[in-house]
Amino acid sequence: MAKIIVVTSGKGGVGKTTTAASFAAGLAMRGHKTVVIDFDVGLRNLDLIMGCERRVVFDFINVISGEANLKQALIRDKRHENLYILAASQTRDKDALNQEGVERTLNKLAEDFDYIICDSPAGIETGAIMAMYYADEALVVTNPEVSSVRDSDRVLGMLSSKTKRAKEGGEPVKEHLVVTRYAPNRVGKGEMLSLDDINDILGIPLLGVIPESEKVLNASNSGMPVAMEENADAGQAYLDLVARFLGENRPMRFTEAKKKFLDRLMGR
Amino acid sequence: MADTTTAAGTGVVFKGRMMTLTVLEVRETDGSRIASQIEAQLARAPGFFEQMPVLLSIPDAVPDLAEVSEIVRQAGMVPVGILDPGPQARTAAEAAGLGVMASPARGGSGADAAKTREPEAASADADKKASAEAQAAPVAREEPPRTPTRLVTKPVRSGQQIYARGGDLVIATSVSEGAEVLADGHIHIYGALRGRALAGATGDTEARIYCRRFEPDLVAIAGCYKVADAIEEGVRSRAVAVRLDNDNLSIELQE
Repeated sequence: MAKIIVVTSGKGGVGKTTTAASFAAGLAMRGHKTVVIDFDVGLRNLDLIMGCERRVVFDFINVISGEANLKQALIRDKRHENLYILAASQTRDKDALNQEGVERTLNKLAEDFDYIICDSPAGIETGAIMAMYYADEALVVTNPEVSSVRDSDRVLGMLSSKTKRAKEGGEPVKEHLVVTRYAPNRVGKGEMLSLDDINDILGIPLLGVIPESEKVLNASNSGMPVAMEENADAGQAYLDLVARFLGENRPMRFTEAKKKFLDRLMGR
Repeated sequence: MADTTTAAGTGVVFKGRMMTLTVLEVRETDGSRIASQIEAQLARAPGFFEQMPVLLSIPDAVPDLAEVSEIVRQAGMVPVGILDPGPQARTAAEAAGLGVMASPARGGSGADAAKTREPEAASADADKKASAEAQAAPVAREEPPRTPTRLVTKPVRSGQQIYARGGDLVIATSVSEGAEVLADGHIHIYGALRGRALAGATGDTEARIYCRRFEPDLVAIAGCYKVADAIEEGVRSRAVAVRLDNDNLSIELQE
C-alpha cells in the first residue's frame, strides 16, 4: 500500500516545495519508489526545484482531464531512478482540479509507488484541500515566526476536519511538524520563536528542524533538491528528517547556536 | 442536605416547561437523499446544529422512522421525538424510545390529538400505581430538560468555532489564537486559552470561564467582553476564573 503524504503550511514561502522535493528525494535515496505531485496549479514551481522544468510535456491536469495518461506525464528524475515527478499545469487554475480526477490519479499511482508526496499550494482553498484530502500523513511546514505558526494551526484544524480520513471517521491523519529556516542565534536574541514556543502552540510531534541556509537557495536555483547536497547543513537535516520518518532515532541537529570561540575556550 | 422540600417526599418533581424545539420536516422518502440534503443544510452553518435536539415530522409509512433518526444522529443532532405521527410511525417511535408529541395547533381538537393521548391513558390504566414515570414516558415535553456538557479533547485550532448550545463546554486541551469557543453555560479550559471564549452566550450572567493558562484574544460573559489589550498584565498566562460582577468582567487568579 502506497502512503500518501501531504506537505502543507497555509502560509506561502515557508519552504513547502523545498521540503516536498527534498523529502521525496530522501525517500528515493533510501530505496523507496516515490512520486512527488505539484498541486500548485497555475503557479508551478516543483519542476524548477527538481530541475526538470524543460522536460515537462504533460502535467497533472492533463492526466485528470484524460488528455494524457500517467505514463506520459510522469517525469523520472535523472539522478535517482526511484524518484518521479508529476508537474502542475502553469496555464490552468486550481478549479481544474476535481476530486474524482485526483482520487483516480492517486489510486493509479498507489499501484506502483511506495510513497506519494503531495506538494500543497499556499492558502486554504480548493488546491490546498485537494492536496490534503486523501492524505494518510501530513508534514506541516512552519517558519519560526507568529504568522506562519498561526497559519499552520489553521491548517492542522483543516487536517482534522476536511480530509477523507476525518470525514469517514477513521484513524486521523498523522501530523508531523517541520520547522524550516531555523536560525538558533536569532532565536537566542529573541528575534525568532523557539522550538518550545512553536511546540507550545501547535503541540504536534517535531519531525525535523531545517536550519536557515544559503545552500537552500543555491540548490533551488540549480534545480537540485537540497537533500542531494551532501555537504549542505540543510541537506543533512532533511536526510535526518527522512530517517526519522522511516522510524530511525536521530538526535536533532542545528538547533543550538554555535558557541563563540571564547565561550568554547572558557568551557561556557 | 435534607431540607423541607425533600423531607416532604418531593425529592422528584415534574415540571412543565415551555421550550422552543426545532422540527425537522421530512418530505423526501429516500434515505440517501435525506442524508445528503441534511448535510447540505448543515454545511451552511457548521457547528450550529451540533447536539441540537430535534423533533421529527415525517409522512406515515415511508421513510422508515428508525432510518431517519439514525441519519439525524449521524449528522450530529439528537432526535427526541416525533410530531403528529401516523399509526405506523407511532409504533416505530415507541419501539425506538422516541417521544410522541402533538403540534399545539392540532392539540385542542381532531382525531389526531385524541390518538396522541391514547397511549398515555392506556398505560395509566394498565398500571394504576405507576406513577408519573409511566405517564410521562410517551410525552417528551414532560422530561426535565438536560443538556449534556460538551467535551472537546482535541486542540481547538485557529479558525475553528465550537458552540455548546444550552450547556457547558469543557475543553481538555488548548484553544489557539484565532479560534472561538462559545457556551450558553460555563466554559472550562484545561490548557491555554489564546483565542476567544464567550460564556453565557444567550445571556446567562451567572456563567463563568475557568482556564489554566489565560492568554486570550477576547473573553465575554453574557455579551460583556474584554479584549486582550484591556486585560491587566497580572493575570496573563496564569490560571484564572472570569465572572460577571455588576456588568463588569472580573478576572481572578486561581492559584
